[in-house]
Amino acid sequence: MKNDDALLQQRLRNDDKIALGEVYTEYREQFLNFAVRYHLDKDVLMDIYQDSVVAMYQNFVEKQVNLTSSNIKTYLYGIGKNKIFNTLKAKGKMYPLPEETFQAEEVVLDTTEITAEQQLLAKHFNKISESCQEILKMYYYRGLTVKEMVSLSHYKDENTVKSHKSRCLKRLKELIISPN
Amino acid sequence: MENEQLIQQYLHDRLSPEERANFENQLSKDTVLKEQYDEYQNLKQAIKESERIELKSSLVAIEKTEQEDTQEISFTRRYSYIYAAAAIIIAAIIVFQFLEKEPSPQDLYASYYEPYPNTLQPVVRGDSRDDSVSKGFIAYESAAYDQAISFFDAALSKTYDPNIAFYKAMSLLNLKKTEDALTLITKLKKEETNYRPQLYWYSALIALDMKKREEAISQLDSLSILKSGFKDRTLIKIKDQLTN
Repeated sequence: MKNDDALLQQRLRNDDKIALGEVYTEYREQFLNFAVRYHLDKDVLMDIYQDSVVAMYQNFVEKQVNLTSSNIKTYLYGIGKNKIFNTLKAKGKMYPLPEETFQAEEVVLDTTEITAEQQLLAKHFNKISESCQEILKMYYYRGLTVKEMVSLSHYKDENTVKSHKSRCLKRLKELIISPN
Repeated sequence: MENEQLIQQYLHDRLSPEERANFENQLSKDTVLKEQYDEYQNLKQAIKESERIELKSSLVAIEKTEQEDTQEISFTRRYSYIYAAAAIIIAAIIVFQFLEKEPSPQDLYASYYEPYPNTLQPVVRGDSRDDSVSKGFIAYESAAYDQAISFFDAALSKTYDPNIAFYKAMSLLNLKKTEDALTLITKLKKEETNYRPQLYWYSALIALDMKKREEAISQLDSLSILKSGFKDRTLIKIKDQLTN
């Protein structure tokens, strides 16, 4: 069981989208049943659960999270609990905390607001070719080194990666200056 | 360490506390570094945001399929003929609309086809190399595929390299010489190239263009067996569209 969790964590770190779906369905019922006690609408809870799974996944990819004393479930619940409390707070409600019947880790959420410039970049990012998206994603989002990128892709060597990366970045910047 | 590497390590939490402190100190003094840092940070956040939206919609899609499944079950539990009749009518309408909306293989080809980028030999501005391979890639990158083919042919007759042959096949394909491209691609599958997944991917697209649905599915299956990660997400989407 412990090993399964470690294996699944490795797949999450490697940006394996199938692992994302597995985690999502595995804890869905449990999470929704547990969260019922906070008296939020089912739709709101579903939304929170989905956002939590995405936040968990992105943390694994971006920060290469490695949980040894806890597991995916407690980590996910930690994020979920945070999001539930934020929602309750935004609604001006604060229920006394129900007695804890589950284990959740304290996870600090990244709450940095996205800037207008970043929004613009994000919008145009979808317009560059798939191979460009892939290479920029590996470097800037997953934080892979050029060396790691060569071993994980079909690029011949570091120079090929570097030159393709800078061409893609240039393309993205051009799009922003003159869209289409 | 180069600036950019240092920024990457900092933003992905891979520096020791001491290195972090040094970096932050340097960041407050060095304006060039600060500019590079801001650019990296902006790109990172932007890609993260675009990825977040895509991930979320994939979860919404999982949820939708599951709901449809459970609705079907509760429906059959009711024994009312009226419900059954209504269900058939609704299903018929849905199927009908679906058939109408279903993209033809050629539509799929058109929406997924893009010329394969040059990943073999970077073309550097002011490149003075004048061997046929370099010339071929310069032509390839500027979409002069006819020219590219003659240069690649010249290079291949001197020394045979299946990777160059792959780009010849891509040039043929970009010129819409589909059958010639397919013959070459099929031959290359038996050779050692860096582009194994790509060979199956483009075979599948060619099959779509030729309206050979089954053939396309089988090529895509071969591609998923390779587990190369190439076109992973697209693969799921396109197979879905083909098998529905």
